[in-house]
Amino acid sequence: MTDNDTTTDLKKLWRDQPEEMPPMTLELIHARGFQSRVRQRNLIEYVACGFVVCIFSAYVILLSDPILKIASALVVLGTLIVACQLHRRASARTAPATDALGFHRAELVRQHDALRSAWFWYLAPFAPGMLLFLGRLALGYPQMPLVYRLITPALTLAYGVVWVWINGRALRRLQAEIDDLDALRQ
Amino acid sequence: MDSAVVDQDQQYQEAADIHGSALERLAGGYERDPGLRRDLVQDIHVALWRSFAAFDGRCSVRTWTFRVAHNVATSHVLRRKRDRGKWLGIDEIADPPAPDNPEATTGDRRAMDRLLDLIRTLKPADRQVLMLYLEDLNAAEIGEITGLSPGAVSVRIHRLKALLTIRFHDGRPT
Repeated sequence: MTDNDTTTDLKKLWRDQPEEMPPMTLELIHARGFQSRVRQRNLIEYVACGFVVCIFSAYVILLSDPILKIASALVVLGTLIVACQLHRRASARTAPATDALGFHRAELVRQHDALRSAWFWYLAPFAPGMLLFLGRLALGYPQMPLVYRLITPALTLAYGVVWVWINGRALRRLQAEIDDLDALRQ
Repeated sequence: MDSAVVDQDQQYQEAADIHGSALERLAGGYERDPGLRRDLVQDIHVALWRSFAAFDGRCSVRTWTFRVAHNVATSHVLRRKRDRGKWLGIDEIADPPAPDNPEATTGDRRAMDRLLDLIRTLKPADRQVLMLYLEDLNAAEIGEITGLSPGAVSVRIHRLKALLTIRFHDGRPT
């Protein structure tokens, strides 16, 4: 028998394998793609939370000003609350094998609700610590040049504006996806 | 829904309709466990769907599809660090021992199991070449998908054909 005989037979055997899985529907693809995006977003958020916890924990230890120490500890506490809330309210879930459409819609609504209330569970826990920290920096050190005292509050404000804009855009996209799904189901 | 998403859906759907069964076979060459294999197939489909957002038509849909699928599947097996040390190159695979029961090796199922065992033993680059060869792609297409030069692909195919003949000579599948 030649090499070609054997490989021709093997090619045929390979391509004649029976299909065992049902074809993937677009709805299931969208659902899995959405969960994967959520997982990726949350991973970035957890890494950012870890970074903030490390930095402000170091402030608690290294800074001498007791008010800044308390403010830093509050920021660490707020960050831990945010990470827990993120896990509770907006973590990715594994799609069940059946009713992909229903599951996907429920997940879109869940993420939409989580984003809509994000000011409460994502921003508010930071507020006490950050306000105290920024207030102390701005008002407690008059000998520092004004630009240094204002730069952190300015950056924080800029972050807040960008956050509101991104959040609003994400909410509109989620709502559009929910509407598309509803149109598909009718 | 915006037109870009509709195009992406349409391109994905066409690729999945044409190459869906090949993607399932490909997953079989990377994952033995049926549950994990099902997850891998789904991951490949999601990655393929996503990839069509960036498809620029500079290669054929078939090349694009296999490229994405093999990349996802290779990442899948590379995550399992304990398996990595067991993979062999084409030249490192020893001739198989003579079968105890030659009659049993003649069945298609048995031949398929042996072929899959062989594929899963190979290092990812050789595995890709072998599976693409079994899908009947030529050396140029395989090179385009794997990134190997056509010459390197031809050498690998030559060695793989010899290996397959030694391995399956006594147990011809048909």
